Amino acid sequence: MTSTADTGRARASFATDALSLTGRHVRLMSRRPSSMISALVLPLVFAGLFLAVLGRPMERTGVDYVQYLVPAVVIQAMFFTAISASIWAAEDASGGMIDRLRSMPISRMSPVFGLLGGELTRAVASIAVLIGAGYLVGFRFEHGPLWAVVFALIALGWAAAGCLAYLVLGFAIAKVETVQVVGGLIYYPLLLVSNLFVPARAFPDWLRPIVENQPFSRIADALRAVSTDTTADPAGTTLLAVGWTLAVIALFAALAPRAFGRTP
Amino acid sequence: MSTAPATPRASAWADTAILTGRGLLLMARSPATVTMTAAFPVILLLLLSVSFAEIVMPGGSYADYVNYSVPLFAAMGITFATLSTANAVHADRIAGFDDRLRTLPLSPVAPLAGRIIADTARNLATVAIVTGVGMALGFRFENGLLGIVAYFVVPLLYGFGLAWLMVAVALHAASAESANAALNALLLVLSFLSTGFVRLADLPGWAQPIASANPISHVVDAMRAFAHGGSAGDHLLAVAAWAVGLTAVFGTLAVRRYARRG
Repeated sequence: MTSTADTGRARASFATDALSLTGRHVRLMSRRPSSMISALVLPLVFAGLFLAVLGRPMERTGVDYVQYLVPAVVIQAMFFTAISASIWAAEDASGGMIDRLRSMPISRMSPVFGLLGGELTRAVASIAVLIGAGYLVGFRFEHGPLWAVVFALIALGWAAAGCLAYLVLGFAIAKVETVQVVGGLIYYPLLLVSNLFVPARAFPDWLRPIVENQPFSRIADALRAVSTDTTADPAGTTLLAVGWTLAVIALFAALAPRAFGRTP
Repeated sequence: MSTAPATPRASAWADTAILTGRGLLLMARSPATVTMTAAFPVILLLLLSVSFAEIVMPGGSYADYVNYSVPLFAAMGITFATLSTANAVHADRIAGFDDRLRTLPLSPVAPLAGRIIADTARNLATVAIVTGVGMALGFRFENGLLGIVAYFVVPLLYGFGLAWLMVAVALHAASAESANAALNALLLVLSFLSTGFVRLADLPGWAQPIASANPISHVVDAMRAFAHGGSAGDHLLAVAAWAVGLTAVFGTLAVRRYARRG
């Protein structure tokens, strides 16, 4: 613990182990261009594309689409973060990194938290870039700076929940290609059958209850209520979003040790 | 030819035919690959059209929007499938298959053209599957048998040209991963900034010139004209020009690069 090197026996410290593995993960990501593209460029590309394609038709229905869209692409970027987590987890599990770490006297779960910490760092960068770009085209926080902080915290909390879920997926499957396919199959329906890009009323009646109540729509409701939507109740929607976030985290935190402990 | 010469000679056509056969055989042995390729545009069709219909065509029915947008999803399927063509070429390069071919007196066109031609068969399956699902949801052919044939030919022509671009990138790229990420973004932009999802007039001013020049717009509009009636001539010409241009430029670049690798 202290600087006086005592005996040869190294001791595991959860915080320092997780922190140094977080550092490793951030360095690796920053050196991989595809990772930077998916964190910083791809969400902007999606924002621009949805704005281009649906901007005018949405204005016709009376929706300010820039205001509507920014929370959606923030959530999408959090999803990209989770997908990235699953791929790194699968790579570490199949590439021998986890085996190597297990041979060392480190805290057992620190590799999981290292990946999580690295991905959340990336998520912060994504959020900053998206909000900055949003401000350039007319996105505004209507409820003041305090709620803007809540906005970022809701998004980060959801990123943590998503990363945890996808880390479990990555460790459980431990094959990069399969993880990508399964991750995508989960990603598209949750993202597109929601009120993220298009309001729930545009969906057919039979689908609307699902659209309105699925967690991604609830997170979007909260992000909109604390930023652009002046008609909603920010506190109430935030509570609901926090509830979903905690539920997902609790579920996958319970599964994580199993998935991680069983990696080949 | 038939009198077995002392040194065998490379014939671009015969070699391409053999390697096309290899590509088709590989595909036949892993039907999952073909299914997965077609699944992507089908999933997008189901997930996007369900909510876009009401926004893009207020007052219209869901079937109307499916009728309008199915060609786009077919074209998107082919567009993104060219990425797997490029990745397969890259895999052959890494795994040593190319080195093995190089020990043979083989035309340098053959491995690349063979792969692309074989993948045209996969593209046909993709268009057929997307269109089949679309027909269940409201897509209709109203322009006779010749229109149906032309509807299928147009995207295949485009896919052939685009594949050469992708293969050229695959052979030049330093990192497969970054190339994939960059091309993926480019293909997304091409798919969205087109007349596929919405009409040209509904796109913002800055996007309209892009959409007008975009080959995907021409592919989609030609397919619409062939399926539903209307004049396809200009769009067909534009698709043909894109296909020939891409093949000439990037085919040359790709084959040169392929021949030079030692």
